[in-house]
Parts: sequence; C-alpha cells; structure tokens
Amino acid sequence: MRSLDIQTARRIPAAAIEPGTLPLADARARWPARLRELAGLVRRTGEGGDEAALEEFWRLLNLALHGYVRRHVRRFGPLSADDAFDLTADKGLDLVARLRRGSWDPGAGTEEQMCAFLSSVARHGVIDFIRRRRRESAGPAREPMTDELIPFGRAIVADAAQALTTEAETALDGRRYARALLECVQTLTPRARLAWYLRVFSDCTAARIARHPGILTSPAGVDLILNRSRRQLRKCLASRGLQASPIPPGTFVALWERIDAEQRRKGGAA
Amino acid sequence: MTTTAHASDDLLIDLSAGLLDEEGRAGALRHLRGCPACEGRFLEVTRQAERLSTSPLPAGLRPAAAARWTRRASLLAAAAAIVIVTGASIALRGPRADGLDVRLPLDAEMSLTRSALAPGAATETDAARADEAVAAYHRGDHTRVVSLLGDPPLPKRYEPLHLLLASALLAEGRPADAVSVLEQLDTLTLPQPWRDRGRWLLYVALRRDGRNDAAESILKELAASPGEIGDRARAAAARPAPAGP
Repeated sequence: MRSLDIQTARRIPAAAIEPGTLPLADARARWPARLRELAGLVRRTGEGGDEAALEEFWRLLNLALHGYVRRHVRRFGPLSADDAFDLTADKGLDLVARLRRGSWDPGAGTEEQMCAFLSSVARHGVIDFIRRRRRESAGPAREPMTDELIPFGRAIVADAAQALTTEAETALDGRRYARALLECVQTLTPRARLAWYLRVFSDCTAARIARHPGILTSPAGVDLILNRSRRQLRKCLASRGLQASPIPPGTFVALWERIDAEQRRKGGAA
Repeated sequence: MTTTAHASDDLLIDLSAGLLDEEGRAGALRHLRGCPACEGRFLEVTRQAERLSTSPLPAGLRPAAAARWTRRASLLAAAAAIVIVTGASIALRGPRADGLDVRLPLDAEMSLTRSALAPGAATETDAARADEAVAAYHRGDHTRVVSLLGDPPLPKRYEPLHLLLASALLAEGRPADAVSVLEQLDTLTLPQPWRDRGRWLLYVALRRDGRNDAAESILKELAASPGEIGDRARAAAARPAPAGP
C-alpha cells in the first residue's frame, strides 16, 4: 500500500504549482483579494478596529508567505518546519507594522503585484536566513543535498503514520483501510475527532490543541482525550480485522473535509 | 474542467481558508482525493493553518496599549479642537473611546468553564450554549455572545461565562447591563483570576456608565494587584481622569 507521501510532492514540475496553472474550476486565487480587503480593516485596528479582521488577516498573510517560503526553499533550502514557521511569522509581523505605518499598501497596484511583493519578501527572508545560519555554523557551508530540498513536511507524514502504526502493513488494500479508519474516526465525538486530527495530521502539541477554539481544555485534558481516542480507534479497527497501519492516500482529505464541515457548521450556528 | 495537473498552492490556501464557493470546494476536494502529491502539499498548508489557529497572536501584532492611548489621545484632542472651533456639541464618549481593554483571556478560564459544565453539572443545552458562546467570543462576535448568554439568564454557578457576557456587553456599548450582570455575580467573592477580571470589568462598566466615584475606588484596589489586570489598572490610573457624566 502506498502511504501519503510528501516526497511525491517534490517531483511535481515547478510550473505546475505556479499560480494560474491550475485547470480546476476557477483558477484565479481568492486569497489576494481577501487579503487586500482585510488590510483596510487592519489598518484601523489601532483605533479600535476589527480584531476578528486582524486575526484573519494574520492567518491569511502567514499562509501566503509560508507558501512562498516553501517555493523558495526548493531553490535555496533547506529549512526546518519550525524555522519556516518563525521566518514566516517574522516577515508577517514586519509587514503588519509597515501596513500600519502606511509604508505598505496591499490595495495599491494589482493583486499580481501584491503577490510578487510577498514572494519577494519571502525570498529575501529565506536567503537572509540561510546566509545567517551559514555564518553562525562552525563548519564550512555546504550545498543542500537533493533529498533535503523540502525536509520540512516529511516529518508530518512520518508522525501521522507513526501515530497509528505499529508495523508496516504493505499488503492491505488502501481503500478498504481508509474507509474503515474513517468509519472508526466517525465514532469519536466531534471534539475528540478534532483533537486526534490536530495531533496526527497537524502535529500539534497537547498545549496547542488545548488552545484550539474547538477544544478549549487543559493540556492534561487533551492527553486524556487522545489516549481514549487511540484506544477506541485501535479497538474499532481490530473489530474489522485490521490493525494500525500507515495512513493511505485520500484519508487525510476525507477527514479534513469532515472536520472542516463540522467546524463551519459550528461557526455558522454561532 | 480538467484534473490532469496538480493543484496550485493558491488553490490549497483558498481551500484551507474557506474562500472557495461550494462548487470550487467540491472540485478541489475531488482532485485532492485522486492526487496523493497534492494531498501531501495540502497537508502542509493545513498544518500551517492549524498551527496558526492554535497559537496566540504575537505580542507585537496588536498595537501596545500605551501607543493606542497616545494615538487615541491625539485623535480626541483633534476632535476636541474641532468642537471648540465649530462650537458644535459632539459626544466623544463612545464604547471604545476610553481605550480600556475589556477582552478576557480564554485559555485557563475556559478549561474551568468546561469543568463547570461537566456532565451532571449542566444540561446538554447549556453545554452547547456555552460551547457556542466561547467560540463566538473567540471570534469577537459579541452580539452572538450576548444573545446566547443573556437570554435565558445563566445559572449563577457558571461564573466564567457571566464574565464573558459582561465583557461582550461592554464591547457592545451596554455598560449599564454589564454592571447589572457583574453586581449579580458579586465579583468580590470570585476565586482568582476571575475576581480581578470581574473587578476590572466592573470598573470599566461603572466608568462608562458615568459612575466615576465607584469606578475609581475599584481602580485603586486593582492598581495594587500584580499581574495583567494590575497592569491594565495602573495604565488606566496613569491616564487623565474622565469627565463627569
């Protein structure tokens, strides 16, 4: 069985992942327009503006910058997941400060120009970071090996698989396993399902999960939820004649879709 | 529509951020189900998104209270000048014009809320109402918080939720209602950290309701306290005294 593999993503031709090449439905990206819309609200945050807009702007800006950082890391890499997160946050904070000072206006110019600017900010950030790290390292600078081009991300899959895996289950039919896993996950409460998802797929610590608006408990409470969920899942899989195994392709998307729908229902109801 | 190529990072961000319409979302998910490489990259995007949603906003993101106050003071001074020049009568006392922060931290408080709403301590309806209210407060949807927690009134034992209700009422510009909620709660009897938080909200509510003498005595008491609420109180005490009602 082929497990979900970030390595596969590295074999995608660069052109295939550039904006505008996606043949699915409407290829025009929506986030740039939303970011520009939110920027106007954020600029007023200091004068009692919209806090919710600030949070959404921050999330979207970080996602966009992180995307560009990942692209540039392919060229200049390598960077750990934590370094990429910190670098993105650092650049994001700088941009928010510039937005408030009036030295950056996402609304000026076209969306393409704003995207090019963000890409440039991310590229400079990656280059500066790598230069600084080389200066600080004791040994001589070395060229990144091919296998290290996108080292962050691999760990996600490893952790995701490890959370459920006792030994590799290569002969198992992936679709059957995915279906069974999804059915078992469905037996968890929505809150437990979200906590398990955040742990297994998003690699969140108990403290982070505890802070999630859909969870809101103590880290010890999260540990309890996770232990109970794992036991329940193992038991459920065993009742179907299956044992914990690497998570097959398609499982993550199906699970994300379900959890996202639950979160949206909750948000919509509120 | 074709699904022969890979999904772009842009599409994955749009999907993760909930910016696609139903048709676009369904198409993107259909593609991801059949494209393990795209699914792998989507995993990276959602991981970043979840990491952001479970991290507090960086300290530098919100303007510092002092800087906010300075800017507000400048704006108020400018507004006052306009009043003098035009001779017009303009009311400057809005719900946020005083720069006082009425937002409550949710982390520890909500874990206690959960325990207060544990099975046996509350009905399913109350628990669902609490869940929704906390989520709405987290989003800054104060109107929803008030509608969820204000009617029917909550049992007295759900103290943290009363504080959220008072905070939301203040954010909605209803200080008299906030005073009423907090007085019923008897803030002095609350355990910490809720006591200080409740007293702070009561101070803001009284001050915004024009009851400055009662407000000032609470402020003096809070300014002697350690911690974040003490900091808020000391900053407020350092500001010019508010005008009478």
